[in-house]
Amino acid sequence: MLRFITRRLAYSVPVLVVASLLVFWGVRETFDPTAKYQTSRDAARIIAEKRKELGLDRPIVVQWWNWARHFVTGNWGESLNGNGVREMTTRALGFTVQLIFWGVLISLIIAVAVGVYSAVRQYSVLDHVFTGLSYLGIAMPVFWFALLSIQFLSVDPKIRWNLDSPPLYFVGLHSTGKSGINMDYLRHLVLPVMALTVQIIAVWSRFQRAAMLDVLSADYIRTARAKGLPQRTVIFKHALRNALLPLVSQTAVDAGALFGGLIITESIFSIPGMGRLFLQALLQGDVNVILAWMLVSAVFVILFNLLADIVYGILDPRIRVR
Amino acid sequence: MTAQDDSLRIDDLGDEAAPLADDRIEEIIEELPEADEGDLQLVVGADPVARSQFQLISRRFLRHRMAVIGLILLIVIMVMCFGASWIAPYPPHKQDLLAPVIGPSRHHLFGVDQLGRDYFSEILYAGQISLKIGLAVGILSTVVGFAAGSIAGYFGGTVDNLLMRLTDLFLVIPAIAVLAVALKGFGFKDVTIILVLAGLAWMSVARVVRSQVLSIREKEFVEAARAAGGSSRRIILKHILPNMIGPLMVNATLGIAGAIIAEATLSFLGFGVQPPKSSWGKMLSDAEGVIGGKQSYLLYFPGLMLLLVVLCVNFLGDGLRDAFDPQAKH
Repeated sequence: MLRFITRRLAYSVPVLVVASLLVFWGVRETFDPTAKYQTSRDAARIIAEKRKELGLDRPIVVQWWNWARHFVTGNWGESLNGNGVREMTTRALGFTVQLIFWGVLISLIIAVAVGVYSAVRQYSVLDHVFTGLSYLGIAMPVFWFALLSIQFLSVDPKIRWNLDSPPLYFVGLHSTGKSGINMDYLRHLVLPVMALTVQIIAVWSRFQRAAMLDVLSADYIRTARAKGLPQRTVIFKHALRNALLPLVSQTAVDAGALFGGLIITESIFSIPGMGRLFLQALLQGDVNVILAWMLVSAVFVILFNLLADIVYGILDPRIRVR
Repeated sequence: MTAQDDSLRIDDLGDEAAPLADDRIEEIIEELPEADEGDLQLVVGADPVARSQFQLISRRFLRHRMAVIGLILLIVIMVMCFGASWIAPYPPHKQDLLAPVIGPSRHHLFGVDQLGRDYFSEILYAGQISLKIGLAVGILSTVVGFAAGSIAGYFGGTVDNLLMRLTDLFLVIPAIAVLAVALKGFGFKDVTIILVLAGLAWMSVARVVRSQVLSIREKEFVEAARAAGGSSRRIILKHILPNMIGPLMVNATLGIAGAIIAEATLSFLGFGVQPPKSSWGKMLSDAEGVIGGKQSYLLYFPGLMLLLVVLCVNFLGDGLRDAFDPQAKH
């Protein structure tokens, strides 16, 4: 097992190196940090100076190496605005982790409940309703859903009932000057988490339904029924436990992919998480921030993929981890 | 999709890709319960009606009600959008700043936007771009994905390794970063958007094709073709391709849906279609300011079109999958 983990991790190092080099090159080619001096007097001299100061006059590989050398030792450099990239990333990650935590938790609860119900009562009215909803959820453009939720759950009610503040907020995760987990936090959290979960729930509930149907047709379930166990025991103890396995690893994989940030959700709801950090860095061509962001999110993708495989191997011993 | 080749073989346990062509007998048996004239004749043994593969597939497709509805709706939407110059009630981008702010009415089916343009006409013209990009990306990525995947799967070796490493790489580099950097570098022309989106989408197709080819190339009929002296190109195009036309078509349809959403998302974030051109995603981004205002109806229609088109394409994909591969579970 340990060998498997180390090999997988070692294997991902070259991928990360090549990826960061490519992104470094791409961003350097596309964005010129000295472009803003173009209009100043004596532009040529200032630009030349700045280029020297930023190290832009050297070959791209040397620039990348200088960055990588420092990055590995924990010196992630400064953003174009002169802020520490490491602090920026850590702070952004904090916001994104909150969203992921609530989003994944709520998605899991709803998806499992819906999936199990749909499988146990296959082809019932509610099963068809859930199927229809999941089709809608999968096809739903996330940003449209977010805009509609702001319209109908926040702005509209406030105007209609003449409230002092909207029932649900859509800017940030706290009102100014407030912190902690309280009603204010909750009112900020509902809309972004809804936007984040709608597609996930749609996919995961189908996934859970299929897994549950698979298990319910297994021989040992028939045996359990035949020996007279109550329906509840059969479903929750015999079937559900096994039917959860695929979703567990799927959850790990999907959650890992979320750390790159929920670019759309965060930018619509003005939450200063990873997605917004990236989007802003991209608009400014802030190469240090983009690279830090990319590596952090890539490491999460790799770790959670590994986690998915390990967890699956532990829960289902039939699957050998090689 | 994420399990590495050398780790778990979860995927390999299920999903035996069922070959399509060589099970004619099962196909016919499967058709039996549907008792119509031809089948009855088959049962009594008199003058059996031979059906071509195409007939069998289209019969199964037509039985999938949602897929047929989806197809018809898609055709209607496409005709309306691409025929906008004849169908749209107003010329494109015709502003009327003095027009009163009015919601949907008899004269303006979807109302007018902030600049007094007829929103229904704008939707149709914007749809041209959304649909064009979606279709082009879906088809292009399938063709390229098939070429790369079949070469990797058939020959193995260096090409195969290269492809797998490349897909690993793009698992790590987030798609949106590549898209944004590439688009910023190459400019926001339709062609660049198509090329960049397809440049990312072909890899997943290639992976699917590769795994299919790996199983098909071991089949006897491929061996027979090779023994008869068929060239590799001929074997891939004449023997392997027809056996995976089903999964390819399903992939292409789903690719179209994905590309439409991807383009809309990019345009919404400002990295896609640029004014004066417009797409449904761009229209939504322009409408973001109307939330809660008098013109909040502007928010509904572009999103509704996106939802409708993607829904139809997904149903179409479902129908195609069932038609081509009746044994597949979903």
